Amino acid sequence: MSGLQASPSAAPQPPASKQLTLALIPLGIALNLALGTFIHAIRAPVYLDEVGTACVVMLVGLRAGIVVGVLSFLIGGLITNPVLPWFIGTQIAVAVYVYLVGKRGGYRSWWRAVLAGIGLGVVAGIVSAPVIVYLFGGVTGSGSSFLTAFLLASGKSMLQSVFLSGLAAEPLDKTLQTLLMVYLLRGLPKGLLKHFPNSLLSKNGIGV
Amino acid sequence: MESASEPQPVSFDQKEMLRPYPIIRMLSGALGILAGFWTSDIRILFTAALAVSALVVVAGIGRRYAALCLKVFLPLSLGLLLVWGGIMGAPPGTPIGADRIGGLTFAMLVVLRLLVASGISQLCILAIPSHELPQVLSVCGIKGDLLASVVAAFALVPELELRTQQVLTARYARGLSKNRSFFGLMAHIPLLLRPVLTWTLRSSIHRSELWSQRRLIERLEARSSDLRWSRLASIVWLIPACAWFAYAALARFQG
Repeated sequence: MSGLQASPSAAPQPPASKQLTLALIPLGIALNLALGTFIHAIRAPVYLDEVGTACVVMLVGLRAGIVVGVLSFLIGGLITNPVLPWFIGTQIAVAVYVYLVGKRGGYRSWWRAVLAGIGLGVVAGIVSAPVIVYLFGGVTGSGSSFLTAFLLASGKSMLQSVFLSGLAAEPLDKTLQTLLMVYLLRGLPKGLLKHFPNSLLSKNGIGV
Repeated sequence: MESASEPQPVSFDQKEMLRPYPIIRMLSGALGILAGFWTSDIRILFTAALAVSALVVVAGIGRRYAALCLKVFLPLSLGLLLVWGGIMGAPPGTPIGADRIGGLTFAMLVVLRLLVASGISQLCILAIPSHELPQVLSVCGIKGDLLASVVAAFALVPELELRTQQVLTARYARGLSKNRSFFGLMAHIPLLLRPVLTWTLRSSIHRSELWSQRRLIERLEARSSDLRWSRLASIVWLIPACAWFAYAALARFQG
């Protein structure tokens, strides 16, 4: 847990080349979508469908991250789960949140990453709740739908139930995803990270 | 000399008959999806879902659509029927337990709308042969960098899925993932993902160099005028979509 502080004198660095950003976007999309299959194969009860988006934001910036998030869910809606495209807004919110937190060094230490993950869960829960209520009638077929049903049975309104079940389930999932993103980026070889000279990485003590 | 019993190769003209103008294809899809969300008559939606399912099978993507139905729509239907038919016992805006049939009908409406929307979007995009996808997207206005990203993403998803399966299999084969309990598997996720991300970044660096050398983006754009589109196929796509959209709009705005 120690030795994770960023160098305060990290100088601004040139962005990754356009070709590299372009080549990373489809791979970020594939990472988002393929991890779903991977997680399904080991039967883990998490989604991990935003790790690719978060990693791309940290590696090459906000615009590429938003493109990865939006295209992931559009393409994922066609080939893996038709529910996904309706949550594009959540992906955009995730990309913006990761960018803003990353700019303030929110992933510099593990405890900061945990706090950032909980915050991300709250943001994702708030952004997703109206879509779940008004489009899906409160249920999307995921595990948190059972919690929604339980809250409905206890007398809460539909919006309250979806919002509360989102707040219960999302922070755990998003904290795991955030910790995983930080762990993965910190474990990358420095020679590889040199190709992605992004100030977000240096502000968070990654690759320095 | 070809014998009469041998199957004849499909001529260019016959192939052309199966190709509506890309804009018409996407417009028909958008109209169909919008009409599905505006329709509140469960019998019409059920008929539309059957028609879309038949078209999906004819287009050759029936197996993928069936997998989606089993993996996504079955649990979604069960959840919605439980919530609206069982727990709430009423559709939205009605006191709890007042109208159980109404609640079940609402649940089925949500499922059928999503089923129709999903089938139509699959017909619009996934039914396009992969070698024609760049041209279709290009005609629809997706050009340059974005076109390269979308086309590459379609190609890379199966490749990365294969890579993740290989990592998982390699770890099992080496005896590195012995504990297959729930917590054991959870603990292994980061270790499993690190080689996948490293491969992803190395691959993107390699691909960016290749793309640059081979001028891939310019070549993708240059291919946009290769194909010819069928006017008849466009009419066949557009008429039912417009008819259903007009019906749904009239039904919605007349109350």
